Amino acid sequence: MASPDADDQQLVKAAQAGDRRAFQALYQRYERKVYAVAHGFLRNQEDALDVLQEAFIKVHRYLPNFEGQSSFYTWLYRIVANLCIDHLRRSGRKKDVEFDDRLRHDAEQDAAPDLSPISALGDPSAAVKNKEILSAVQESLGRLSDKHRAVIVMRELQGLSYAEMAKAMNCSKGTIMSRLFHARRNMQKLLSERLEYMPPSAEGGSADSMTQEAAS
Amino acid sequence: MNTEATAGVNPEELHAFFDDELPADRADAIERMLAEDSDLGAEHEQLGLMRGTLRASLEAEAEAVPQARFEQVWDEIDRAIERDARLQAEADRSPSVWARVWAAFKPLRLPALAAAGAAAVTLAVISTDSEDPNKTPAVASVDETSDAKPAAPAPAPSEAETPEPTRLADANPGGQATPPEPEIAPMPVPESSEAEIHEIDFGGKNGRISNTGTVTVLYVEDVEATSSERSL
Repeated sequence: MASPDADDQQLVKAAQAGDRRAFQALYQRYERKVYAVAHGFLRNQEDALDVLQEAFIKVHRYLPNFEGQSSFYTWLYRIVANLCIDHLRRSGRKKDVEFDDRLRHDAEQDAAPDLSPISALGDPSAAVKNKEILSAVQESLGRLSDKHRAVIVMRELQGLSYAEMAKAMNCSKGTIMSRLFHARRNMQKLLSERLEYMPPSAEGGSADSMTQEAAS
Repeated sequence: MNTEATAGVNPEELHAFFDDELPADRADAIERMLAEDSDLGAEHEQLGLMRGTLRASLEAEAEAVPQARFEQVWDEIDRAIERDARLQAEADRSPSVWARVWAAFKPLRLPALAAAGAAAVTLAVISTDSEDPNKTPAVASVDETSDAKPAAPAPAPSEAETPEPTRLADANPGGQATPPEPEIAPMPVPESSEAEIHEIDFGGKNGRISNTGTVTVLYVEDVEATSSERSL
């Protein structure tokens, strides 16, 4: 029986041989990461937990066919991304129906937005401990279109390549490249707007410039 | 010389560089430009900050979920795996030889059932006839002692399906036909007859014994030659 501390490959082999504990160890290793991805896509806790459950049932079902050509987490994240995209399609949200990759930021100009508030955050992992900053990031993410949020989550959190993202979203690599660029620009813009108006009490790297702008 | 490798960087290309999605020669060129162009360097740095902030934010959201919720999800997954395993086992279970034979003869089932039904009806008719003790000797004696064939029933059953006449014939192995006794009233049939009685003395009168194996009939001869009977 594989130890829960074993690496992914060993756990996968044990799980393929029918070791349920090895499979549970894989689940426990990735439960929060998968949830984070799913929640990034769907912005809803119960939907994200549903996708987590569905993803691991699917992984177990197809585990005998997994040959280890890619790493387990790449395979798992691909499954999660596909499930999230399917979920968005099924939910029939209209937010993306008339989707335009250039939405929002291109209406003004193609120049990079003023990113000084983001730069002022400093260390991101320390910054998000501040509830206001965390809330600003989450709100900005929630205001993106489903497709923009999907490419951002797939790239920034899952680390999928353009080719993998193109396959998941059923489009070309060029489309992914363009979509990701516009999604980032939108996210930067939304986040900058929120951080500019953040109260001066914000901890975790609130820069003087932010405070001054908020006061002005 | 302004080759492609040294041409200006468009914003999308900078993002692709950040994502490590450019060919090696173009990536090298952009890397050199980043060192020379501070604005370009700042924009590149912003992409890294954004990625870090998003990751930290999404991970913080995941950390906020109580562990019990993930355990509940695991319970559901575990149940689904059990269900899958059960269904798989049922699907893998090969049918037995009898099941396969049964399946192979599926087209013949209905005719066979019809034939069996007809045979059962015939047998029931024959059984009903042969259960009358008054008719039994007559049937048996006809089979054994005369060439005359009994009237065959309309749907002639097979030999294996007509045990009653055979059994009745065996009950009189000597082939001695019991004399027809139309006056004899129906008698109860004893279950067995182990005793062998060869003579009888009934009130100083003589009698004779007729033993058909399952039925023993005592005939007591009276002075007027009237008959009475007892069954043992």
